[in-house]
Amino acid sequence: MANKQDLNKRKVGRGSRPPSHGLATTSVPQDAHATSIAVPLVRGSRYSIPGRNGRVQNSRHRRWSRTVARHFVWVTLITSFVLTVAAGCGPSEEVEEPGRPGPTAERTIGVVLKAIDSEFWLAVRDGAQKAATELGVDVTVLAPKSETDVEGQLNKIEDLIAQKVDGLAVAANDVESVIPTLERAAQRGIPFVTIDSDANAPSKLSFIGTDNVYGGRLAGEYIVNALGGEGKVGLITGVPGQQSHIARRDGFLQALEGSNLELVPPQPANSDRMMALNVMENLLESEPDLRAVFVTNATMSLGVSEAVKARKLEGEILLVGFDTSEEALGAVRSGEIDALIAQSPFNMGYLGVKKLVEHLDGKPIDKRIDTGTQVVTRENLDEYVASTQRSTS
Amino acid sequence: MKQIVFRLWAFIGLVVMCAVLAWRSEDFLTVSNLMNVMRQVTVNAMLALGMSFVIISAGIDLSVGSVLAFSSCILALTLRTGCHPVLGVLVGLAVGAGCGTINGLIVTRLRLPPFIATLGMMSMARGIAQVITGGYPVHGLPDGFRVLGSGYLLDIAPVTRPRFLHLLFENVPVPVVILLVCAPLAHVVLTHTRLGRHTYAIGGNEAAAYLSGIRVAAYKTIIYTICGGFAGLAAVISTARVGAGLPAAYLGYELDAIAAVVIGGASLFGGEGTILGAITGALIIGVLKNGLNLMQLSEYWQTFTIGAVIIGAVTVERFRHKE
Repeated sequence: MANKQDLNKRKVGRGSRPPSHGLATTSVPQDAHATSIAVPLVRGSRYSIPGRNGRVQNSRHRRWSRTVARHFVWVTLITSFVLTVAAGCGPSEEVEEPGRPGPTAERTIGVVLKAIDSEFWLAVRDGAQKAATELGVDVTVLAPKSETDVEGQLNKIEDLIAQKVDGLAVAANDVESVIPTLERAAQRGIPFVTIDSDANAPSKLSFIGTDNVYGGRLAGEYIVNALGGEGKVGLITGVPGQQSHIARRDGFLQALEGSNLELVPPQPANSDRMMALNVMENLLESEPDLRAVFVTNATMSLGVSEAVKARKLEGEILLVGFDTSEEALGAVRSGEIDALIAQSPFNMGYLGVKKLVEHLDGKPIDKRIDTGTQVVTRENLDEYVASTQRSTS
Repeated sequence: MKQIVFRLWAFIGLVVMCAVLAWRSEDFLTVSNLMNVMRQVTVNAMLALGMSFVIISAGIDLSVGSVLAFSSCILALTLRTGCHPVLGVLVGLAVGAGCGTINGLIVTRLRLPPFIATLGMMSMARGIAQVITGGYPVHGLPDGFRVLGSGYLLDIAPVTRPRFLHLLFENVPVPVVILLVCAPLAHVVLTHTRLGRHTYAIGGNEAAAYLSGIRVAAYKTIIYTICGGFAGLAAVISTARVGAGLPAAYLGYELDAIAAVVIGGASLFGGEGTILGAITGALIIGVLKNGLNLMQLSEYWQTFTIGAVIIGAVTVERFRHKE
């Protein structure tokens, strides 16, 4: 960088230099500087691809190594691409070739999830794949980077429309933004259902998912009964605006009405475990007499239970989560989480695909299909685990 | 001749990819799918245009994703007040450019490294976006505005007479038209104006550029402003497409933009890079994602592939600078 001594020279340089001819009239005396200026200016001004032509006089050896280097990126790019394509095509081809004769074998159902970063979405995927194997259809499961990636999800849906899938099951990250895209699918003759989160699209065949309001009410009733109707209650929710989380909150609030429980202001933790931990720590700080907390998904409830554990408040605070995962069920077993409102993500994937195929076969399907909810506590844990294993195996 | 082949390597790579895709998937080489890809690419390509300026000047801008989210929220809130869409668009652009200017001022006046300055802006813009919206998405934008993101050229220029023009306009998405205007403009600015030449000069050797009389601080501020402005433009397109201002979305978009610029042959050490390269880079990433979706490949493989492409590109970067 230039220091104070250069300041004068800079001023002279700036004043005397005609525009766009910086190189010719450079007034800095040092030769070393003058040559180093020449490189960037020539690069930028005379050649459209700077730096490449600027070094033509290099030795032959150097040019050769640069050639190899430049090839490398495209070789890597193409190789990795071909590899992945090959990896992806291998198995699907085997399925396709013998399947050609039957009419159902050519059907492909596209399933677009909110993300694929938790056990919940893996269970939806497993359900969809189970239905596909049972019914003899192909299923493509796609998901954007994260549950906040609305545009990425639209891209996935559009790609499936371009692929002319026979039906779409979509769990929308933003239930309003997705409507025009889903309607475009309907215009192209692709029927769709919404799973997990309902989007209010006119051409929707069905919404297949948990009755979240009912689930939230179950959570609220559990807390009301356990606390005997007195004390402060916290509420931690997901990404603001997500319809399923709003519905759970609403059900929870309905259950609290008429009791003497005091709700402290609800806080979002964006379905993120770390964020939930931080939010809970702050909540424990600001509300030392908190008696219970309802968390609207399983990932966040684990973060919350860590915050409770760190404060050595296990058993003091009633923790109710929504939804299950292997880890969360383990936390119920060890008593860190008191209750989980279990939904059935497997059923969402399974019924999503199954109902679409039924529709394609000309059967009528219901506008609203409940995939079921139940309260899982330490007492009925084994029973619950046994029932889910039956449905997945 | 050899030089020309080198220059076109990125493009050849893209063409080969398209050829493989067309061969493997019958749905790839259709007008509707290609336009689909182009529409999907625009947001990243817009960010890559601005990012090109910054990277060529040996800087980096990690804040574009958050600035995009921030200006999309302000834009959506402005439109919700019922003002004219044009005013909303200008507000969106101004917010983006403003954030860019602040980046530039932090880099030049507070003398923080661009990485740190824009890392701070990344968090600040995200935070403000969530504060002003309370974390909720802002819905309810007018249909007239949404044409900018999800409409076709025919919606804004209803041409019926020459049949082929009608067909063309029917299939070209509006965002693609905006990109087709902006990219050549950025190219001309970068190669044929003083601003462009000084961008290369600053990136090539900042001290020398300073000593030769270039007002490095001023130009750097302009460069970051341009980058922010393109983030604002990306926000306009994306908000129009999604139909909502989304405070929590656009995570990691800056990385895709940097990847596009680097794949396109720019050097993170500055002084090298072209607009054509950045666009090709963005197209490669977009076609890759679309193609892998059409191939029914899982998200996991897509993430892997894009990572492999970036590593390849940066490896070349090292080879070149070792010499």
